[in-house]
Amino acid sequence: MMNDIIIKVENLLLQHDTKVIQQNLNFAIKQQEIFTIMGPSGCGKSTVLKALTGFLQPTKGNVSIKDKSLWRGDAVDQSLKRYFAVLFQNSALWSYMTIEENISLPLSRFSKLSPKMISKIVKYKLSLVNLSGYESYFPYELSGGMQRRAALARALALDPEILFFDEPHAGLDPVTIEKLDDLILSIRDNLGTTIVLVTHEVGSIKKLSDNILFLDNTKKTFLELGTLDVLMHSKYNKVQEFINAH
Amino acid sequence: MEKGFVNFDFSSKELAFSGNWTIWSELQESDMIFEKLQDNHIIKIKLDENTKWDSSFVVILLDILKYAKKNNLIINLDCLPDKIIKLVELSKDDYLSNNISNEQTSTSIENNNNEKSHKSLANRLLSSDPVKKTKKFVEFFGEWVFAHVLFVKGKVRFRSKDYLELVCNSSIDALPIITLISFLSGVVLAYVGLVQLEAFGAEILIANLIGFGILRDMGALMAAIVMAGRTGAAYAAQLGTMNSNDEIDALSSFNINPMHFLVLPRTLALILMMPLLTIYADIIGLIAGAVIACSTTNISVTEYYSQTIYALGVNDFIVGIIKSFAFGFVIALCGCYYGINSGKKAMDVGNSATNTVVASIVYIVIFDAIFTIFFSLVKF
Repeated sequence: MMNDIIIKVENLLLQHDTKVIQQNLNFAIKQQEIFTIMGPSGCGKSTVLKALTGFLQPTKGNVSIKDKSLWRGDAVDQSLKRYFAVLFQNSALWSYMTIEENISLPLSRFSKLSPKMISKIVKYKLSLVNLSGYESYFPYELSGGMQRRAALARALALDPEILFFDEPHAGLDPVTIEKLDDLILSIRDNLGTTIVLVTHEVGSIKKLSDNILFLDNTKKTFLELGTLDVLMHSKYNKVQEFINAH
Repeated sequence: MEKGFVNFDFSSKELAFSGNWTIWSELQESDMIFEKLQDNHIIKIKLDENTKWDSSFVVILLDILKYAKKNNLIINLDCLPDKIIKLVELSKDDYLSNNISNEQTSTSIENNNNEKSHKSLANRLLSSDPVKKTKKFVEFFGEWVFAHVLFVKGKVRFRSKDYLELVCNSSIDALPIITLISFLSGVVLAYVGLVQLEAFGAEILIANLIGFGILRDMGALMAAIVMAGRTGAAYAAQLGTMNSNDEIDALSSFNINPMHFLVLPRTLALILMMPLLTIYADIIGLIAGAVIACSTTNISVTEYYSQTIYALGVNDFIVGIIKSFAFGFVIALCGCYYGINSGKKAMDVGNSATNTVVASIVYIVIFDAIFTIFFSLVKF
C-alpha cells in the first residue's frame, strides 16, 4: 500500500451562515487507504464531506487534492473533479435515465470512446457491483440497496482515484451492509481507489477503516484521529462509548 | 375535575402534595408553591398515598429543584416513590441547565415562542432581501446567456433524446389545452364584440376586432398563460425534485454543468416552440371567432374571410410572434431559475412551482403591455 498523501486538510473552518459546524480540522488522507469520518448525529460529518468535494466553500483553511488547492478564490478547481467521484446518501441517480444511461453519461461526456465500447464498460461496471442485467431498469424500479450499488457503479464510471461515500449504509439491512462493505474493500484492493467514508455504522467502521477521524458536536472539532486501536484506547469517553456501542 | 393540593407544614418543614397532579387537573403554578418555601432552608417533599400524578408533577418537582438551586435551599425527595425520583434524576441535569439559561433570555415559554415567531418572520424578511435576490438572479441570467453563447459556438452538448422529449412536451402534448383555451378566447371575444357592434349596425367589423385581438395579443397571451401553468411549473418541479434528491449535485460532481445539461435544453425547447404554439392558437382563435360571428349574424363565411384578409396585415401576425418569443423566454427562465434554486425541503418544490407560475404570469403581462405600447408608438 502506498503512503503518499492524496488529500490534505489544513485549519478548516466550516460554517452555515454564522453558525460554526466544525473548526480547526487538520488531517491528511493517504493514497489507497480507507479513511472514515465518524461522530454522533449532527456533528457535521456530511458538511466536512461537502467541503472535501467542493460543494461547500470553507470559511477558513484549505483542502488540497494531489497537492493542488481545491478552491481557487470563490470557485472550485474543476480540473480536480476528474480525480474523484461522490456516492451520495440517497444515491442521487438521475431518475429520468435508465441505469445504463446513468453510468454511460459521464463516459460519453468525457471520453472519446465509441457507444459500443461505452456499453461494454457499463456492463463491466455493473458486474463489479453485481447488477448485471439491470441496464434497462430505471432507478425507481430498484430496491434501496440496488440503487446504492448502481450509484456506486456510476461513481466508478470514470475510474476515479478517490471515492467519497456519504452514509452509504443508511437504511440498508445487515446483509446488504455486509455485501456493500465487501464491495468497498474489493474496490480499494482491486482498483487501488482511495476511499473516504462518512458513516456511523460501527461494524463497518471496524471492518473497513485504516484511519478514522472522530468529530465532536460539542467542541465542534475532531476529538481523535488515528487507527481503530487509537480510538478504542482514546482518552475521551465519548469516543470509546461510540466505538464500543455495538 | 379533581384539583391538586399542596400544604406546607412549618413545624416539620414538609411540603405535602395530595389530590390530582396530572395534566388533566387544575395544576397550581410553581410560583405559588415557591411562596410557601421562602425562608426555609431544608424542605422535605411528601406525596399522599392516593395522589394521582404524571409527568406534569415531575415538571413541578424540577421547577422546585431549580428554585432551590437558585436560592440555596436543600430539597429532600427521599419520601417520594422511587419511580418519581428516577424520572427526576433522568432529566434533572439537562432540564435545570437548559431552563436556567433560557430564563436569562426569556421570562416565559410564551415569550420564547413569540420571540421565535418574530425571529422566523425576521428571517423570512431577510431571506426575501431584494438585493440578494437580484444578485442571485443576475448571476443566473449571466450564466444562462453565457451558456447560450457557448451553445451557438458549438461548445455545449446535451442529450438530443432529452431535448426531443422536452420539445414534444412543450408542443404536441400541449395542443389539447391550447386548442380549448384559444377556441374559448375566440368565442368570448366574438360575443363581447358583437354586442357592441350590433348597436351601430357594424357587425362586419367583428372580423377586424377578432383578427386584431387574436393575432396581435390574445393568441400569444393565452398560449403563454397556459404554458406558464403547464410547462413552466413542470420545469420548476422537475428541477426542484432533482435538486432535493441531490441529482443536480451528482451532475456537478462529474463536472457536468447543470446550466448546460438541464437548463439550456429546456429554455431552447420552450423559446422555439412558443411561436409555433402561438400560430396554432391564432388559427383556432380565428376559427372560433368566425364560427360565432357567422352563426349568430347574417355575415357569410366568404364575407367574413374577405373582411379579415382586408383588415389584417403581416405586421399583426409578426407582433404576436415577437411577443411569443418573449413569453417563451420569460416562462422558461422563471421555471428553470426557481427550479434550480429550490431548497431541499419537500415544500420547496411546491413553492418553486407556485413562484414560477406567479412570476411568469406577472412578467408575461408586463412584457405584453410594454410590447403593445411600443408597437403602438412606432405604429407597427
